[in-house]
Amino acid sequence: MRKLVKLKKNNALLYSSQITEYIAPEYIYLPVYPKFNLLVKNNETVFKGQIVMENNLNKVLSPISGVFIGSEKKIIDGNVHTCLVIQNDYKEKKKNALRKSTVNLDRDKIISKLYDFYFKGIASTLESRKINNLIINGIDDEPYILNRSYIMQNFYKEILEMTDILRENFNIKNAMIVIKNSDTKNIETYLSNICMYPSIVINLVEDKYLLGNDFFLREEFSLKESDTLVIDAKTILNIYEAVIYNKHTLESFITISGPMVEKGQIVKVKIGTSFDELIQNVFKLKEGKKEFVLNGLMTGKSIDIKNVVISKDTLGLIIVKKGEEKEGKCINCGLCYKICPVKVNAKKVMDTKMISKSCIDCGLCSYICPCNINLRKFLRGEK
Amino acid sequence: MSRVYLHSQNSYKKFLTLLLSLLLVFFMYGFYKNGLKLYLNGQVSFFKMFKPLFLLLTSVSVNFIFNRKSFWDTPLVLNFLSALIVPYNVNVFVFITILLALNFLQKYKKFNFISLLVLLIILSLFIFKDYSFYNPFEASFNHKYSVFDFLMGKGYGAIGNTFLLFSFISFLVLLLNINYKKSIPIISFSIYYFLIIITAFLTKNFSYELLLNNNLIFAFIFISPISEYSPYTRGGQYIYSLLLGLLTFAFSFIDVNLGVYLSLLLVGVLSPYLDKMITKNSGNLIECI
Repeated sequence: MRKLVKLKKNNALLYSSQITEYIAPEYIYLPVYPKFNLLVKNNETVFKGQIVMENNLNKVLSPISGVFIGSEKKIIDGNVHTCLVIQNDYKEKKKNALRKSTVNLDRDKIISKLYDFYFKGIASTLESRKINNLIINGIDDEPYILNRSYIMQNFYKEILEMTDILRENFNIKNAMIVIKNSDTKNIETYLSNICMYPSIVINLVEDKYLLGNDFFLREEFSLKESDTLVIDAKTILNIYEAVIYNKHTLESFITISGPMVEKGQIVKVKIGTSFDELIQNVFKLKEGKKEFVLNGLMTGKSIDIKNVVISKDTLGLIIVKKGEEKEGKCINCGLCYKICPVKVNAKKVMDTKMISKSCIDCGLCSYICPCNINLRKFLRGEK
Repeated sequence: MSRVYLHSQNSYKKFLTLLLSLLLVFFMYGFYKNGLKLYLNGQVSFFKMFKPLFLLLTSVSVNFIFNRKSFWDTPLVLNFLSALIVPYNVNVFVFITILLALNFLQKYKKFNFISLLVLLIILSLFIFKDYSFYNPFEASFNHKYSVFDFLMGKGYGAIGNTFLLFSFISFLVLLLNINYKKSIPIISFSIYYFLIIITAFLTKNFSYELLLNNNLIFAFIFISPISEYSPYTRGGQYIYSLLLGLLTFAFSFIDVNLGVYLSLLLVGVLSPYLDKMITKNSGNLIECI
């Protein structure tokens, strides 16, 4: 078995105990992907949940009601995109009122709903394979990003209910909730509520980096990919809302934290909200030069928050003190090679200026380097 | 640019500091044994009492001259070690000349010059017919050391490497450090001692000098695993230490003191090729576009 490591963390960072909501942004930015047909016109009123773009496979929905006022270039997931700009009218007008599903759920209905609400990967897995193991992944990999942990804590009823629905309708032998053994709040919550679901078990794992990754988590329990389905906390919650309430995923949970934030928070935001607006309205930052790191300190990227928009894959923003780190020369210690969970030879990559196909961009090589060499840069082919 | 904003507490500077602190204890014992004690016994003059200190200051100054920008780096350890592992009989001018030349060569090609330095000094001592690892006190009569004597540093050896007990303590301390390539000394020691013990049983000739040789133990612990000059791959480290143990054993039939440095020099030359050999088909690498 692979030897995973525990990361050094600053436990003095403060977090709000509740999830904060910021679901009424002034503007929403929706990226226009190639080969998508635009279904709205300038100055046209759009409803919440209305399809604004579509192609053969996907549809893009507006997370708010308001007016489509044009387009603007923004950065989403590290890439520059032309985005549709929708100005919020703060009315949250919907074409069809949401209602609780009244029909009894069965295997086919769940699969059909999963397809309808764009959980195609999970739908096709459940449809095509016999799943014996269902893992609900409540582990956050990135230090200081606590989305999954908070979702597990605040939506335990929904998560347990949905897990049980999937287990029952797809005849899944083992359904498990996986949480860190250091996550005492969640351990307590699930131990008190699991009695309602005798077929679901709680599994605790060590607080080790990369266990939040499906592949490594499966490996931790020695389970085969062919009969195992891993669903993270955020996705199972979204599935619950889609299957039970016919609700599309228009909101997301992100963590804003770091040494330069007065108090870190997990925020529920509309997909398409700009980071700049969110930070200005919700957070109090400390004095000094800051660096904004998108999606975590291990695998994230430094960004200028003015142009960055939150997508459904955004994990959060860590705000750190800006400072130049002095890189040393390689001392041939081989720790980068030794620590790599997929055995990529980072030193060879650095020496030969090649890139590795196997690298999973976990950042462990740079983390362990005693000379502070930015090996991640070489592994990603940046010069 | 992609970067990792979180770092482990592992730092090479901290490791160097630990290494130099350990070496400082060896130096202090060396100064006591090969300076103060000799002076108190009336075997050297007051001026000659400071020979170990002079050698150390010289080597640190040479490091300052050649590595001013990165003073606190591996060359400092190499130069510090230089002052500890030379025989007492070394001619100071020969020592300085060789040290300057090797530091100068380092500017063009980085290499572990420790073994070469000792071998050149031994060669110079051969030329002057003064080759010995005894200090004036040890050379004055025939000794028979017990294991306890060896452990307490009374055995013969270079200027600052005879405190055997502290060598073992240092080894234990270093084993706990992530930057220390522990597999190299462990395998080298295992191979060497295994062969020595087998030979001793076969020939029925048992010698503590081969088992507890200060130069050998000190070189295995401090010189063989120097990060920059030893392989970084696990396979490379295994072959490197295997060869080191075998060659040291083979050369010990000629001279164990000379043998360990000669084998270090030879395996040191092979070191980068061992890594290349091991990583030849690994990594799944593609050209960067």
